[in-house]
Amino acid sequence: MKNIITNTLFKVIVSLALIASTACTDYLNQDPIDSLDPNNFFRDESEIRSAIVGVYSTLEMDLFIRLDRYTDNIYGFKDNTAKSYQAGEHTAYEGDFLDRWALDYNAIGRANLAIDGIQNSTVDEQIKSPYLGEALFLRGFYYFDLTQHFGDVPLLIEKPSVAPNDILVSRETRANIIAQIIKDLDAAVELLPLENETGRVSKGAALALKARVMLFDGDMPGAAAAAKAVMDLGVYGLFKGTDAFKKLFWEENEDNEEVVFSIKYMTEFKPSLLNKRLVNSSRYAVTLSLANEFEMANGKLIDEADSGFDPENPFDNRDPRFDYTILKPGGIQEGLFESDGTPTIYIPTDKTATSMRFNKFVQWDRGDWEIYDGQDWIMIRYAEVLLMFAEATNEISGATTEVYDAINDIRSRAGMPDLPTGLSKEAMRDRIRHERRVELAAEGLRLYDINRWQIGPETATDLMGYDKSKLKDPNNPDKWKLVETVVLNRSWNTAKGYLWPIPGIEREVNPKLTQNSGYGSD
Amino acid sequence: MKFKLLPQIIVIAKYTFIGVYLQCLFAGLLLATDIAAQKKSIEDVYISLELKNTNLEQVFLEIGAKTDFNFQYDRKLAKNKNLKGNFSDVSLAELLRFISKKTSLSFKRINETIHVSKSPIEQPSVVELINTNNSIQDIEVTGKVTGDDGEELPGVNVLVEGTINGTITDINGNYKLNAPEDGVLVFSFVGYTSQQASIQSRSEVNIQLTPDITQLSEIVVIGYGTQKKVNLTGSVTQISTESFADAPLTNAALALQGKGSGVQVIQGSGEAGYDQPSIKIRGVGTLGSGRSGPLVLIDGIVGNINNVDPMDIKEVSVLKDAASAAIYGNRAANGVILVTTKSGSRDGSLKVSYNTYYGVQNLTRMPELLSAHEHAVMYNEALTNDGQGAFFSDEDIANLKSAQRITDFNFGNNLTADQVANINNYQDVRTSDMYYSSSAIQKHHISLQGGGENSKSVFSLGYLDQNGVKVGNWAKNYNARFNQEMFAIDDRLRLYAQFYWIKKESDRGADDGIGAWEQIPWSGYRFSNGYYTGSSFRELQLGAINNKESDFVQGIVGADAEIVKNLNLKFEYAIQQTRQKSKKFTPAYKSYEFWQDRIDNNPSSISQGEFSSQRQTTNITLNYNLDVDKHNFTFLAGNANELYEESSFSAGRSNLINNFQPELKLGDVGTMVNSSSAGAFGLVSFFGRVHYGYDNRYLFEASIRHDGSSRFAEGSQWGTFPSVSAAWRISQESFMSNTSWIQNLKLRGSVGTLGNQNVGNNYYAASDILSFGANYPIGSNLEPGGFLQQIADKTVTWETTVQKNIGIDATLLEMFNLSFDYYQRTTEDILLEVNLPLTAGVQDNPVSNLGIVTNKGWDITAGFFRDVAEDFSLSVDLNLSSYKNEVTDLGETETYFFGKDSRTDGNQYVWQEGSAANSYYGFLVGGIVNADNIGTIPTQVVTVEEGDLWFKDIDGDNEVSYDNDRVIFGTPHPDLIYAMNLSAKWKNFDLSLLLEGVNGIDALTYNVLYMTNFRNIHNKLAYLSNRWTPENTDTNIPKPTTDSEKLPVSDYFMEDGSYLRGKDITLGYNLPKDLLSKIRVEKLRVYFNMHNFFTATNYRGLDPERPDPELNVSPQVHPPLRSMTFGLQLQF
Repeated sequence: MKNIITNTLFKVIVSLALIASTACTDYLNQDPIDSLDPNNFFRDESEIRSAIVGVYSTLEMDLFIRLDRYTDNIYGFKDNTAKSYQAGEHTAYEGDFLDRWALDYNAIGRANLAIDGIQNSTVDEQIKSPYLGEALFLRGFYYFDLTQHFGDVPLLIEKPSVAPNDILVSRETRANIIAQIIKDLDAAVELLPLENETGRVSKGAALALKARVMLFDGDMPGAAAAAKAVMDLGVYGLFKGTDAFKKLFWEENEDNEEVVFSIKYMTEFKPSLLNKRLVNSSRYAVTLSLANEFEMANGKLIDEADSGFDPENPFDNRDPRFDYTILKPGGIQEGLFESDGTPTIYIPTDKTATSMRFNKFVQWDRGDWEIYDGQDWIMIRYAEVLLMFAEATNEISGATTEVYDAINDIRSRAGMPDLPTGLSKEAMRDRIRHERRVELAAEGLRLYDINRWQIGPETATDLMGYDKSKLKDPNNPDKWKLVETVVLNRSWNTAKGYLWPIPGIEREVNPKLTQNSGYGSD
Repeated sequence: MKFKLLPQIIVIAKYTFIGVYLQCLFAGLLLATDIAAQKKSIEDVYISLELKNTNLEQVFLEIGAKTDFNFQYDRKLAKNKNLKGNFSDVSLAELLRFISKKTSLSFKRINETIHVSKSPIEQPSVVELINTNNSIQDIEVTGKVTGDDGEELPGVNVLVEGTINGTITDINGNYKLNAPEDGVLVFSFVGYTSQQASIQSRSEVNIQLTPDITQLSEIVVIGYGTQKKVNLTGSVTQISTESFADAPLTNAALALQGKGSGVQVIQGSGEAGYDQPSIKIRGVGTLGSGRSGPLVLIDGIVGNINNVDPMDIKEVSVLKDAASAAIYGNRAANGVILVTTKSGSRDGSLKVSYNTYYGVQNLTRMPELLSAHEHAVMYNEALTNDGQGAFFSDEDIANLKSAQRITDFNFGNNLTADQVANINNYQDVRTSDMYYSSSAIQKHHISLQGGGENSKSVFSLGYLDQNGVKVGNWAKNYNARFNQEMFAIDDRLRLYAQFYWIKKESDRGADDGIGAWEQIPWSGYRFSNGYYTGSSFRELQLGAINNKESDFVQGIVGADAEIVKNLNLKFEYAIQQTRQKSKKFTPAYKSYEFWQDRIDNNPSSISQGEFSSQRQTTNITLNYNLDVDKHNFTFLAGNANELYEESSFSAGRSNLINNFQPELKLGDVGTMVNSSSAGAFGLVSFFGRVHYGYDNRYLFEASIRHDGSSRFAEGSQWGTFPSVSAAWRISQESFMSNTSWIQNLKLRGSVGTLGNQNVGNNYYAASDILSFGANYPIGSNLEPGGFLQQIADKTVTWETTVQKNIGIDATLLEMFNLSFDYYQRTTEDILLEVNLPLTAGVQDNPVSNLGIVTNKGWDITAGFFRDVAEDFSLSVDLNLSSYKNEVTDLGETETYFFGKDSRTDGNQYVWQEGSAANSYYGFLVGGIVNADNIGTIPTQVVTVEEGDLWFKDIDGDNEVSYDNDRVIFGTPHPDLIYAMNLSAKWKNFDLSLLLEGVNGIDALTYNVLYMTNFRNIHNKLAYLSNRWTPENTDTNIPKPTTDSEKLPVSDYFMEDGSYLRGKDITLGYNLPKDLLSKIRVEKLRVYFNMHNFFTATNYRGLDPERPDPELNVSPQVHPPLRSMTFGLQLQF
């Protein structure tokens, strides 16, 4: 009897042991539970779309407006990198340089993944081709940003990989980077529809970006042709009407006919913080240099003879865009009222080093501007296309009617008189450059312009503003005086030139990366 | 009939300790010479003898020479016993009674031999048996031998004294033999003091053996079994659990502190409920944070040592070298800790124990911080030094000098309106005083141990209640354990089950410990306008919650069957479940910022989360034991499988309906956020081991383990980890038999490989990962965006560690134990997050097999034990260990930087070929810029002025740059880790002392607390007030600045982190037994303990015992605690 029990028990134990030891080999097949496998993705439109959305999500307006802080347009008191740059003391270890490098390549990695995935996807050509166009556009967009700042950069166009040869990549010449961008954009032009869902790029955006790239590259005929192609699409025009230059940027006018490509924001889910940044921080002070760039209402520059400029009242009789752009000391914060019903007057505070802030983009009367802000950031607008067309055409064939038309179109929208006729090519070039600075102030293009026009040394003059300690009480003339003062000593570092350094931390990881000249090693 | 296959599969062994009947005999026995029979009684043999402090052995020899008797004795008994006295013509019996009284030895004359043994009773004992063979009848005697805690001892030698007639006990400690009815039985067993028992015509003689202090814990728990300590071929440290109940240990890991050489335990935080210490065995064997922890098995199942009640622990073994650990191949690369919990006994008795302590705790250290006035003055200096306007007016500064000092977080709560209106708005908030105050801790533990013929069980309940020293911080643990074993079929079948549950509840209280140290002292607390400042104190007063509640439940069932003789099959299944809930609530309130004159609206917010995990383990082992003559074989083969799954979700909302019901649902729907995560991994392993011993002199062992891990891609999943080891017990050789001062001498050597696959629980080394959350609005919808989180290196496979170990164990002069080990540990194919260049365009870095790290080091354990006098014993153990760590290869890149400091974009740590892992990297400070050197110092990265630090130019271009002038300047590895355990017993008193320390360790203090950097306005340590000013130029502390680039990572921020700490001192008293027996109490001990009672260090920071020796970052959030406790142990 005992033996039977014994045997049975032993059998049970042995069987259990054997079952357990064989049943567990599938323990080794474990796949990620809370994430997806990118190699088994792009199976339908919604997956493709999410990959494209992932690329778009890298767009951040702050990255573009802040570029003006590297120029004579804006003084960012709290921006250490920009301050070092403006003083010519910037090193390879500045946070902003690394952040930009990281963001650009992260976005390019996402675009590369999407391009590879869409190309290999079995989804219908017709459905997937616009998405491919978008990915190519965005890759071009980010490479352009990279090569602008860093010159020669590693060129990666394959799906991200860990194969050692694909990781540690040497720098590619800027010319080859530009060639790749143009190739991507040409393909995008073909793939993209004329009009797309709001927020998604269309053919016009790819053409406009191509114009930008070619202008930067000095290919004037190419730039002129691309800009002209945008103009000929017939879907864009200048936003016109009362206060058009001001309202152009407002949330209520998002996606107007002037917008070629914008970064989308939504108050609740994806606030831009643009209003908040401009209104509430010390990072965006308008320099005197920018203020002085604005013409008088009569079309003359302030230092021109008979301009009518009154140094005692410098804000009077200026280009209407002056007030749309700049909140001068004593200016009205439109839509804001004191408790007695009078409009709120701007009295410089400690935060604004130059005593001048931005009115551009800002909607003072939005009650929630401190927290939420759904206003889009326009990356490319039609006015820039016109300006690019004018600049390129002028370089090719001088101040032709086409050039005049393009510039005057912009000026008249702003309420400014036409340019004087009969300008030489050189005079027109100056006028166009001036017009770009005024029209596109704080839109993140000034640094590109300085770089391509090679005007670093002459624009690197000390940053000036009005002494805020003299602007305490507009009702008391003794305490309200416009006294110009230096807010930051600038210096152009010729050795470093126009290129930013390759981030030091990246070079520690990838020794193949050489450094731009003027930054120490190599 | 599947099991017929078994012999073909593998052969094994089990219950190695059952076979432990070959006793290790210490010094050789002196045997009596055979002479003619003597019929005279010893009462009638007269002798004269003069003893002048004569050695006992000498006395025996002299008596032997003067009479016809010979003494038979264990030399150990005769050692160190000296006698005085002058005897003329006394009977031998009388002389022996005298000696017996003086030495507590008993004498028994059997025919012509006088047997000497340790007296089991307190009185002199001299017994005489003449002509035993003729007149005494043999009877059958049975009985049971148990250990001191009641467990049966198998393999105990039972010998009829003076004969070769003997037997050994069976698996249940039972024996049976024939012996003379007035004979004496001698029970001897390795690790226990031999005992004698007179049969006195009884047919049943049960005996309880007490552990021999000289060979304490001779049986050592090893992987999937036990081994005699003397037969170990690997490096295993047995940790005494004797003191586990004495110190107020909130955590079992802390009980290991200072207890074994090569085992470093560091308590990073004293925060109640968050004090998980880090354990390192033999240094840092790999790269990457959090990957150097050992594998912990609790009763054979992978577990978390923090979940065990220290009072449930019976023994702890630490497997340090590859040979010992290789049987656990897959996760054993950083050593293995085996914890065994207490079990019952089969002696039919019920033993109840109650342990408790109550104590008061405090912070170990509370460094001085700047006062509001000092801080304000320095902040103004920082601003003006950088060409900015001062923040404080002279009037502010003056007011702050006479500011009201606030040390109580309830300040201002019970004031009348008038009193509030009169509050001085200039306040000196001593946040560290507000945060920390002494608090109470108490522990209760009840255990019931019992059993019967066919079962044994233990049931225990524990409760720990700790109030944090931080305001609002508390923790409570409740735990229950039930271990049950059943025996059947003549003990050939053992069925066992174990259930364990622990519930932990805690609240962190005042948020963010580091904030306590860094909070600005002049920001104020409560103001004359009635408002409070926004602070975690205010939130706490208004009902802030930050709590966690976790349940861990474990069940084990197993069967162990002897299929044929000496062949055991064991099957075991365990399931562990963890559930954890957390809730964090911040109430809504209005606060006032005095210096901005601003009233803020702080909205309420709540977040709740749940985490659960499950681990299933099956272990199957076959054990076979074979003895042929002097050859002893033990075979083990097995299979282990593990499946781990976890998932979590969390959700949060803001703007709750009120401050009284902190519940997610009551928050604003528009502010909802939520998330989830999940992960799993599986391990499948096959392993085998052979142990061969020849004549207890030559020992060999080999093991192999074949492991598969789900973390790796197919084709790279499996790793094989073999090891071999050997030992030579020199002391067992015949040529050593005359070397009486060496009781044990053993040489050991081993080499083996181990694996590591630890890359995070929901990390899949082999999978590319596409994540979501990169959202973007298209049209008017926010659409979900995917992005490449990670790309995988599909070839990634096991990280392997090869460890070589040589060691020597010795017991000398019967009072010194010495153990020395030298090891080399080389870890290759390290699972390293490769720093991808940013150009790769991927969010996270992938893991690759990359790099080699070596550790070379030694561990020494030196022990002294001695019964110094009657009623007084003393033992001292020293543990010393040291290692040298070096990153020997890092692949192509040669250097990895990490620990990026956001303030300067410099890296603090580096892995570099030829240097120790996690070395500190940065500039070398030259000194303070002054009028004399300002013209001669190299050009600095930023423009410096007098009073700033300047840094050395390394490459000789006279210009300091990030690229060329940063070097390795320190390492987080100590030169020496040491500890001393002292334990003394005198009569009913016991005293123990534990000192622990680390020497030659560099502490990097790169933190705002230690720097005159006011870019972020944090408070700082008070010694910084001795900063450079135009008036105070004789200092090495630079002038305050707001420019972080003036204070980059450099050796300026390195301090000596060495310390010596008095960990524990315990004084205990056992109430006398005769008193206790009247109230039927077996044992009642009271004790007083002081924990962390002193610290000697030059370190200026919060506490030198820093959280993670891998990344020796200071300061830790919450220094460990110092405590004083009273305890009581009761057993009946």
